[in-house]
Amino acid sequence: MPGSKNKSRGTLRRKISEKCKFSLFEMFRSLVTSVTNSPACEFAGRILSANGGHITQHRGRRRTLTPVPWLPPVNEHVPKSSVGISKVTKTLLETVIEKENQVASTFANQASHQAATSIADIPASSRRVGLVVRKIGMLPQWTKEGGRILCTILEVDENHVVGVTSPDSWYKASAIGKRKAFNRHGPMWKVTVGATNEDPTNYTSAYRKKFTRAGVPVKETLGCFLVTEDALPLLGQPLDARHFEVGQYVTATGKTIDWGFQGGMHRWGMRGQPTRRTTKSHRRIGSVGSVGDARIWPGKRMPGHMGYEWRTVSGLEIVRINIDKQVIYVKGSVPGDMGEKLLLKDCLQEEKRLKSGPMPTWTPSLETIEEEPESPEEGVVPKNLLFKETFSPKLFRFTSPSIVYTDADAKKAAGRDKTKAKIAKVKK
Amino acid sequence: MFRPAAREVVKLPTRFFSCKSEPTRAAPAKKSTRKELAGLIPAFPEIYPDFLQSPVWNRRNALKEELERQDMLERRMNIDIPEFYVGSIVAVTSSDRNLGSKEHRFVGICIRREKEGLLHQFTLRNTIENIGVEVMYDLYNPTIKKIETLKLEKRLDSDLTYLVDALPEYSTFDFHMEPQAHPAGTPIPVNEVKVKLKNPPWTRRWEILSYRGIEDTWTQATPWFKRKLHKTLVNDYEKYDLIANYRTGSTKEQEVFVQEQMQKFEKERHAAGLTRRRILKSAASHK
Amino acid sequence: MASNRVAASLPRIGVTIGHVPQKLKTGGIEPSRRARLEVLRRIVTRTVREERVELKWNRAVEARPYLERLIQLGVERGPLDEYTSEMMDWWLPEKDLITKMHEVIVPRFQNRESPFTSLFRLPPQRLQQYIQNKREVWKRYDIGVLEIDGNPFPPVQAENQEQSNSILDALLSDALRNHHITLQEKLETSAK
Repeated sequence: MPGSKNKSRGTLRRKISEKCKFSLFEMFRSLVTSVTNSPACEFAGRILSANGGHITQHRGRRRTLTPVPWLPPVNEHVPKSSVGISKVTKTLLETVIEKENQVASTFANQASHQAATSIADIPASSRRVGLVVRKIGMLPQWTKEGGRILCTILEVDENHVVGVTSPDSWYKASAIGKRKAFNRHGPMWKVTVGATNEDPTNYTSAYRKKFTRAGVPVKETLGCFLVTEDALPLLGQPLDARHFEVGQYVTATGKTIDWGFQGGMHRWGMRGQPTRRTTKSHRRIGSVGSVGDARIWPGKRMPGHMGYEWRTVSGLEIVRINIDKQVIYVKGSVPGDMGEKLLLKDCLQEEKRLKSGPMPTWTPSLETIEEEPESPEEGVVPKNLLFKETFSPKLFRFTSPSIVYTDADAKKAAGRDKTKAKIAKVKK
Repeated sequence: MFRPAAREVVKLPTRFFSCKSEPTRAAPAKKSTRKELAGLIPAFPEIYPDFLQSPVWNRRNALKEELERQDMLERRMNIDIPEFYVGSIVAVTSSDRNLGSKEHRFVGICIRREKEGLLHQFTLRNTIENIGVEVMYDLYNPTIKKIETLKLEKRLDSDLTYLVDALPEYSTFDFHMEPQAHPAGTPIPVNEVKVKLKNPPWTRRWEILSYRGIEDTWTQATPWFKRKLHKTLVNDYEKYDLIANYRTGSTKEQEVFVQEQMQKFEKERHAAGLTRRRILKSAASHK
Repeated sequence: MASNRVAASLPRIGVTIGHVPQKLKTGGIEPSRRARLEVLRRIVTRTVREERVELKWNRAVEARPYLERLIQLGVERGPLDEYTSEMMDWWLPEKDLITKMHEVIVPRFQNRESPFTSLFRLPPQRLQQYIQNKREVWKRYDIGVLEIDGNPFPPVQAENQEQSNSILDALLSDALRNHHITLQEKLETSAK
């Protein structure tokens, strides 16, 4: 008996390994073959979505920690040790994947060269696409007056347009489209942007098809933007950090830091209770309601899961852009931890709106070659030693000498002239 | 029955262990043999605490550090930031728009150096008209015009916050102090002075913190805190936690990498004929 | 509250280190950070003595960097260094092990780089915990084997079998090669 049992277990194992091989083979085949035009899949679990600045009140759960069950999975789970392919084939597979990425990137770049774009006035009604960026840290910068501003630095990591959906098809396809495709700002296109190239063998074929259709490498993160028809980018077009301009204001949307289950003092800033003359209630929230009602009012602040919620910060000024490294310096702080992805788009407030800029987006054809001065000045750092960067005019550059004040600066800071009487200004 | 003289076998003077060693099956050979790399400073983390990585692993990002380092080096090309340690006496001249002379010079003992990168700060302490004054400077603030090390030395501790509670004579320095030159190539002197604290109350419980530069804190401590000692969580064993140390510290590879980057930067600027200023240097090294 | 720097920096440790120190069950010692270090000390001592030990997986993962660091201290600094000898004294309370460390283990890794240890996963084991009212309570444990490299025991892991002659492999490599050629052609035409 034990022998037969062993034998059956062996066959089972063989079957399992064959199954694994088969699934892996399927994966590879879909990697190397062209893609059929199957209906678009939604990956809501991964797609960060941002609407055009509407405030809608959401009822229900604040956060979901698992993707919705009715959507196809994104990550492929293949036990790699079970697959018997030789090292030579593995390296070959890696080179092929690299080549595919290279081909996709070159084609996308070539297409973007032909895309129509210009620095034009942006009407108030139009909405441009945004970027999916990664928060990589915070640095202080100084102004020319010597003031210190704390900046967040955001990396634009290989952004490509992955999908462009017209309002009609979006309306038909999804419940979100029903809400957002035809809103009070007119018909809106859904533009999906992907960031950060990833190893395609980690993802399911359904997920990978999305990228093959757009002709771009497989991306780690996707983000959606509402875009009007006049500012529509091409499918598969690469997006550059120069899509935004120095001095313009942007809006950052992302998930806040996930603190897990926290008490009332941390989560809501409650005061807690005295350290002494009380037992076992130093950090407790205290009374939760009146006696007569004998219930707790909905919305009572209590301990619970803190953070990992969608939050938007608007009116962030761009003070510096590093073009070589595709990094944007933004004045102020944005939601989320280091290394988290965010959606960055134009600010919509009328006074902070971008009035004129690259429409629909920046492409290499807009690049202007600056004329080199004939004889470089003494003491100026040659450009080849520096990063290609654009600075806000008010920002101090570290290549310049220390700040020295004159009498004029002091007068500016002095405010009201105290030799004269204080008289209220009469509005006319 | 004849037996061979087994007992006369001489035992070799090697120790015997249960396991024999097989080095061939051990770890891969080192790529670079352990030699001193040319021009690199062994005490790099002490001299350049601003070039270290963040102690929070989450905040370490190679790209961010590269951009930050570029700014820091550019700044160091424009202003001479000398070598100084916690315990050195430093003079800082900074621009101030509201003063008549438009600049301000402060002399004091450096009591703290904290944070990394462009955020790096140092604090100077002096006593002016019997009032203790501490000024915290951002090292990379462009309003700083000049930093001078008047006296290059170290103390027994790398944090002199306890001077707040010490007698004022330990943090009184002359504003017109003559700078003392440090002979190049000699090790940095360590000032082994032990300060005497004022009577309590203190800002911290210095008697339970292991500072070497304070004289006899236990007799000065109040009876209330002495009675409290048995209730205090003493964690002197934490120094044995090798990995806790590793989590916040820097690695040799990173230090070598940063120093090579600094050398490269220097070389480029020198080749461009902009300046002869050297950034990577150490007073204790022979060069 | 930085007091003096304990040590000049060492090279990085070539093994996985989790982002936070894990809590370990301390079996008898009152659970605290001290107890955690005591548990790790026992594991490190045992590993240095026996060179290959079977442990619960999480403990093996947690103890491995400590062992690595200790060996690294010996390799980089040598027995005469003050900090090294202090650490060796605490981590190896049995004095013959300090001698073994400096004379047997450290010479193995001269001019070699981290990792100095290996960790393998064994199949999970079900062990009986106790019997309560005739009910047997079993528990499942993930088991790991922690060893110092260059030990004289037979290797834990068999050599990987090369399966290059399987049909899947042959077909796949052919398909990949063809695809690579077409991609290259595409690139070349686009360059023109």
